[in-house]
Amino acid sequence: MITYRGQAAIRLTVNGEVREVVVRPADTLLHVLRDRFGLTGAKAGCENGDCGACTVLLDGKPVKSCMVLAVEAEGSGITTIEGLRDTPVQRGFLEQAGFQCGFCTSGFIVNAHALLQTHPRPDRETIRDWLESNLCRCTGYEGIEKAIAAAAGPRE
Amino acid sequence: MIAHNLVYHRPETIGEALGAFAGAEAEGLKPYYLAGGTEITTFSRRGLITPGALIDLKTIPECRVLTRREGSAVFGAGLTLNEVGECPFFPLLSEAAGIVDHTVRNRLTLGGNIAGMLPYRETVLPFLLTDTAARLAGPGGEREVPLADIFSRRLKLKPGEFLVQLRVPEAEAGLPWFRRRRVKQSRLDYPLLTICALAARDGIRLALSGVFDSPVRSPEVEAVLNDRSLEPARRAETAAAAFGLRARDDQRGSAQYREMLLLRGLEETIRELGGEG
Repeated sequence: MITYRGQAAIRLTVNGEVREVVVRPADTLLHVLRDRFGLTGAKAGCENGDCGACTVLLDGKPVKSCMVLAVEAEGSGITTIEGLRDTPVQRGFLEQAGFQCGFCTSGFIVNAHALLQTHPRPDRETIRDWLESNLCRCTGYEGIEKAIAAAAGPRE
Repeated sequence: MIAHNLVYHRPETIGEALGAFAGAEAEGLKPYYLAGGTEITTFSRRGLITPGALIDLKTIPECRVLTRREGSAVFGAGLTLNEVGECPFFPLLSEAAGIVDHTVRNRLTLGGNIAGMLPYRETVLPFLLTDTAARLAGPGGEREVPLADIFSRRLKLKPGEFLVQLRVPEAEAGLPWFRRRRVKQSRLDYPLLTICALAARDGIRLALSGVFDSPVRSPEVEAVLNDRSLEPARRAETAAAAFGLRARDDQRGSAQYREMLLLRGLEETIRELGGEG
């Protein structure tokens, strides 16, 4: 059994790189990524699991990093927006202007990237099912949906 | 950020989990069992709870089981709602697991939804309609009991106990079903009404959440629902009254509105599950 208390040294695999970090067991993954690793792409929005601005991938699945303790992520592969480079979704967001203020963008891109990895040709219903996990307070949903549709191939 | 400090345990076996719970209590720490963490992390951040120790159950193999064996479908309490939703063993349960958003469903677990702190516990409804057996682990050892014997408004666990698995007879899991979920605005919101129903040989079985303070299945209500001497509309009206409970009244919906939704939902259930004849 693994036990952590006080200040604990753990190893996290972030964007393919194994990194050692000292955390409190109560530290969320979001804060460790941002404050200890300087990976500020995941945003602290609501910190209540509602907005999706903090979305990262754990073993390829999107999760809200404000609801995950860093110690829970040990042994999993963590992918943040910084680990995605020139992916079809990122190109789609650029081409379709799928953002306005940009605060929510990294969460949307990470989630949409996972969506296309799972469903390379998603139908509209699947896109909506996945993307309702993320909020855009600029309400630019139409552009976001177009960006993802552009990144995907023909629909399922 | 979670302001207070805590101790985190990741046991590999049921025995280690129980030992960690007992050890934390002996240290004077307040232990909580952790699964997906969607409630524990957010409630801790807001200071609503202050766990002194978290015992992470989700990597214990028995809690991750998803299988069919000896005429039953077995669901580990540590399965995420997306894993449950994608499983064909119990179609009504798969549908009931479609709550919250897709990303949260990658963390939120069956056990967490049923044994957690929020009152809705929508995934328990399909289980309440069947002869589900709950496998529990606690300081006194492991036991398997009918879920109906330990669920009354909430899961009645003994101190230090946790839910390991739920076992559903396949014959019941495959029955025709009906589900209706009503919310104020967004699909992601908590329910004003969630009805889950099965059409069994002995008639319609129905459980609901959202209308009252806790999930409920009532034999008195089902007796009325299946009383074919009454017209369907009259049956729905009488069944709604037979709950004998006060509807929730909050910012999401008034008691009167919830009662109206309940009546319509019961009418739909009778119609959809062929109870009109």
